[in-house]
Amino acid sequence: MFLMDSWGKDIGDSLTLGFEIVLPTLLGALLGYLLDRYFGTWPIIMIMGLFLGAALGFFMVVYKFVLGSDNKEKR
Amino acid sequence: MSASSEPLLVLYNLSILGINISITSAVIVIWSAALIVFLLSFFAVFQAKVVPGKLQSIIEVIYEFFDSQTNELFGEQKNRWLPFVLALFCFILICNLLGMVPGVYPITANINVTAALAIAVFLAYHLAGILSSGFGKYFKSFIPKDVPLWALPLLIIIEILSQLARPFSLAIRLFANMTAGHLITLTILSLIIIYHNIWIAGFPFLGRIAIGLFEIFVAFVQAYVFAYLAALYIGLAIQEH
Repeated sequence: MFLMDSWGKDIGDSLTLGFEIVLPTLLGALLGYLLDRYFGTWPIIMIMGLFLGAALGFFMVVYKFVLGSDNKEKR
Repeated sequence: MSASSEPLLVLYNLSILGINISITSAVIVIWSAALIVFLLSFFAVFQAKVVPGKLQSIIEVIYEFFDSQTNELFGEQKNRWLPFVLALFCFILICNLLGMVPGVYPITANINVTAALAIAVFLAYHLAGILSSGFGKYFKSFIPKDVPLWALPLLIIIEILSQLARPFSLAIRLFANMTAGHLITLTILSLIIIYHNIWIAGFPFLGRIAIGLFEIFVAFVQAYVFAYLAALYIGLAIQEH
C-alpha cells in the first residue's frame, strides 16, 4: 500500500531533486544570454546569470529539503 | 532501432496558421500506440468474464496495482484521476515497446513527445488542485505563511521554479532513459562494423540480446515512474491545497 505521508512524497521529491538545481542554472544562463544579446555585452551577463541561477538552485534545495524538514520537526 | 539511425519521415505536409503539423512517421506511431491501447482495453473489458481470460487478467492486474497504489492519494476523487494515470502508463509502455521494433520510430526518444506528455501532467495536476479547492484558494496556497515581506519575492520565484521543475524532470527522464537505451544498442552493434571480424561479431550480438532484455525492463520501469509521479503530483495537489 502506498503511504502518502512517509516515503511516497520523499521518493517524488528525490526524483525531482537534481532537476531543481539544473533548471534555475539553465534559466539563469538563458536569461543572461538574452540580456547579453540585447545589450551587446556577451558573455558577461550570461556568466553572471549562470552562477546566480546555480546559487538559486542550491538555495532552493536547501530551503525545501533542509529548512523544510527542520520546520516539519519543530511542528 | 535508434533515435539517430531512424530518420523522421514526412508522409504528408500540413501547415495550419504557419504551424507545421505534418503527418510524420512519429505521428503514425503515436496514433498506432493510442489505437493499440484502446483496442487492448476494449477487448479486455468487452464481454468481461468472472473467470478472466489472458488479456482481461493482464489489464486487471495493471488496474489493481495502480488502484492499490493511488487509493490514499486520490481518495474520493479516484474515479476522476485513476483512468488518466492508467492511460498514461499504458500509452507510454506501448510507445516504449514499439520503439524497440526495428524500423519503428522510437517516439519516447523524442523530446517533443515526452514534453507534450509532461505538459499534459502539469495541466492535469493544477486542474486537480483547482477542482479540489477552488481557483483562488489553490493559487493562494503557493504563497508561504508567516514569511517576512522581504523574503516573499524570492520564495515565490522558488515556488514557480519548483513547479516548472516537475514537468521538466518528467520530460527529460523519459527521453534520456529511452534515448540512452537506443544509443547503447547502436554503439554495441557498431562494434561489428568497426572490428570487421567474424570471431568478435558474436560478442556484440550477445550484448545486443542482453541490452534488449534490459531495455524491456527499462520500458516498464520508465512507464511506471512517469505514471507514478503523475499520480503523486495530482494527489499532492488534491490533498495539500
